[in-house]
Amino acid sequence: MKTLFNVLAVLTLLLLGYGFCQAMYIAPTEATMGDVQRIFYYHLPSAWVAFLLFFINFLASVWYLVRRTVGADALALASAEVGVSFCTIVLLTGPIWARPIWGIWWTWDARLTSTLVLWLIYVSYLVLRHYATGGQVPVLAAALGIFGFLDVPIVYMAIRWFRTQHPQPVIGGGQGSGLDHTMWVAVLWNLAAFAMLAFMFVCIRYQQALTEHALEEAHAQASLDYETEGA
Amino acid sequence: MNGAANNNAYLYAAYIVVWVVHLVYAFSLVSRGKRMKREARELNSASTVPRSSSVG
Repeated sequence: MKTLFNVLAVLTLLLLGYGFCQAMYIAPTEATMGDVQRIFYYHLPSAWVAFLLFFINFLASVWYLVRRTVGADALALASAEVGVSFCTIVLLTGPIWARPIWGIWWTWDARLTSTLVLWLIYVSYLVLRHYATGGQVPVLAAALGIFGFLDVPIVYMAIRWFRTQHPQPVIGGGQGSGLDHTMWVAVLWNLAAFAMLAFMFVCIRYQQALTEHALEEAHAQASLDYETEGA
Repeated sequence: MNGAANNNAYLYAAYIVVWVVHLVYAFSLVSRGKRMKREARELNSASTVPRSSSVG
């Protein structure tokens, strides 16, 4: 198992390295924006990976409410936590890209605002998991995960439904939209690299969540034994 | 030329931010793992110590 993990880690690092080369050196320079457009190769894959992780959180939350398994709860927690880190990257790289192109760091348009709301929903999910106590916390978190996911299609469709400062979709945006083939290649390599990295993070966090649960049970059992012995 | 150089600073800043976020998260996973190992060790040692000696 450890060997497989090490192989995956090396593969992930190689993918990340090659994705970086694709983004920085191989993909052509965009005609209007220049080199700063290369932020796109990290910004877009991060957003897609965050959406995927929130979808996994949604499925695991539903599964937890149906079956109440520790594994589903652990997967929901792991995917939400890693999803927040990728969503944080989207929210940080977006304004850094916007500043030289739009002349502003931020604007309250539908895409940006709904993404910020999405991030806040899942941060509140993690805060709930971290600070709340009691047996109902996983149930409340699952409910929040299910309703929170409703914001993902809103984020995705925001640039189609509303007039936004954020550019119109380059992928699936209809006539006139689209990417150069070499740009697509850079996007897909970085998407693969980030998806692998997310997979590694989720596996580690999932294992830790299971261990946390086992430790909590062991603590509870130990204190119960202690009280029983004392009685 | 100057404008392009300035824009490159934004590009580097964005890439640095991405790696900082990933590294911070990776370190948080490592430190959480270490803490849990320590906790498990402590729990194991507490369960093997006779109660009279642990109470003092």
